[in-house]
Amino acid sequence: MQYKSQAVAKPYFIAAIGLFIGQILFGVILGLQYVVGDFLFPEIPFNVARMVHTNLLIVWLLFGFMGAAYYMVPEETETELYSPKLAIILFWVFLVAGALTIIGYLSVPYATLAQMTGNDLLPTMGREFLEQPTITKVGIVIVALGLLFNISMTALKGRKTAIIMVMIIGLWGLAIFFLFAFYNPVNLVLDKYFWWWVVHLWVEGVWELILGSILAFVLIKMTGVDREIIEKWLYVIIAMALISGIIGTGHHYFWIGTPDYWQWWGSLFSAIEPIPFFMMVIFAFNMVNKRKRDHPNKAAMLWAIGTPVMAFLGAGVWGFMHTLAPVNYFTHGSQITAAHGHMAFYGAYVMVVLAIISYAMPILRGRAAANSKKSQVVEMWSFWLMTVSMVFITLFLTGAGILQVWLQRISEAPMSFMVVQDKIAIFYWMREVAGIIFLLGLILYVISFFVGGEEEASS
Amino acid sequence: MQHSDNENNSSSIEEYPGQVVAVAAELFFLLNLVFLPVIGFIILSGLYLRYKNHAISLARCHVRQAFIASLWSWVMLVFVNALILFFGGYDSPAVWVIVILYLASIHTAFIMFGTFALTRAMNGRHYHYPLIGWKCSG
Repeated sequence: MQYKSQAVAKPYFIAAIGLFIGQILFGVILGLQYVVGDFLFPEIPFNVARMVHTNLLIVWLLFGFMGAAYYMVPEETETELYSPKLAIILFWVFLVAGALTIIGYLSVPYATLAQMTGNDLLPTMGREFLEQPTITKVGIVIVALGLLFNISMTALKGRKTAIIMVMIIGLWGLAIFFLFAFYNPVNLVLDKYFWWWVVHLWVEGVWELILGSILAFVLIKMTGVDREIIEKWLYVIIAMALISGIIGTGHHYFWIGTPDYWQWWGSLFSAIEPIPFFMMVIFAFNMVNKRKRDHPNKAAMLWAIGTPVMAFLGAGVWGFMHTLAPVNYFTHGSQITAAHGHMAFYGAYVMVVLAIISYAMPILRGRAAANSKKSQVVEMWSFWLMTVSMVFITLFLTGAGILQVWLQRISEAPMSFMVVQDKIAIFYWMREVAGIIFLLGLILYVISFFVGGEEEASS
Repeated sequence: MQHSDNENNSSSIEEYPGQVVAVAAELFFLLNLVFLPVIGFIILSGLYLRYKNHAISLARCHVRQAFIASLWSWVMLVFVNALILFFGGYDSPAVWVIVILYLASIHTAFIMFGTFALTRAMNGRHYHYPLIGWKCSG
């Protein structure tokens, strides 16, 4: 570890992995509830399990991004973090707030939680992905502002690289767009319109900047390719991501009561959204082909080159599949959306966080550059188990979605939603099996931290 | 004369001998799959006819690889259409299952391998498409 203050990233990464396990456990429960409707009812109703599954995803990815920022900023700026103590305080604030929120979801009815947390004073609850109590949202803003203050002050006193600037802009964007979570107009069209400014402009906007900067950092470290080359790629990729992603928000405005022109704008701009992901694939493989060194951390390299491939497939290909308005007219809100969501999140964000954890954790644990070979073999097994099972989850959900759209919306005698759900149950069963294999892969991933750890020389 | 002029021009921007032709071949392979179907293939075929026996192995390898992979992509397209006809024609519900799964898996696989091949060409390295590629030597 080059800078002592990088150590603050460690608890963030550990918390991220812990919450990731929680997210997948609830995913497996949810998957079973699709086919065994009263499984764990009334203890964990479907709507609660879904909320926990999606909220944990967001929270653990945020932990991962923050950990990545705290690890990368000192090394990139060539100076110690402005305040390691603040980073640790914010870690505990975020962890306690997150844990209390999840406990709240699971222990009291949602309406009671809203009442208990003073939602009446500033109503922000009750919207998909933004279900957190208002007080938790305030906590997220405080933590984000603290993080931004800390890393911005560090960047101001140190070297300013393109990678760190892109990351800081991404994190500022993340915090700014989250503020729209506090805007909750009575008009449903307006509500949905600005709701997407949080949801879409996060995952198809500013998060892509964070993704690009983490990937660039890991590739510089692992391949030894000149910074100038990697930074040029980064500029072009983030430019394309923003050009396509910002107006691409329009693909969510097709059917919510907004003007018709959004069908053209949304279709055209989101049709070019796969391009930055495609460029990321070329970028990553180009760097690997140009590499000047063979880094001993093969597992981290696997995550790093797997990220753009899976992101291109999940966000690019599966996104494009249903993004044109005439297609989306039929596929909107079906299991095709779920297929896209699963692979896109896994490819773009889960894998990049695991890539930086895989790269940084051995160093944070005092090893020279990598875990022992035995540990890496286990980790690479977990990579393949999780990745292949995610491909199958996506394919099964796609199959379910196609059939759902046909039976429910296209056929001459359309069936009702619940009847169709019964008809596509076989796909849900297969998805559940793939989900359990994913969980096994994740368990293996955790085990890899404890395998042969002492074999590698200390730095 | 034209031929050698082109080669002189390309060699000035080439990091590796034959790189421009190799990259162009893989690029038109991808364009045929994505933005310029047929047109991309016609240009790739032209590259293949001109450079299939080129003295520089990088160029030779990539035009041959891209061309044969492109032919396979057409074969798969014909196969998918045959499958649709077999399962009840273009008006049956199976059309969408077959078309979307074909696009999501087979067509995307061609794009992915084409991308890997492009990055190899950009870095002056040979590439062999798995299962369908011809050997680069000779």
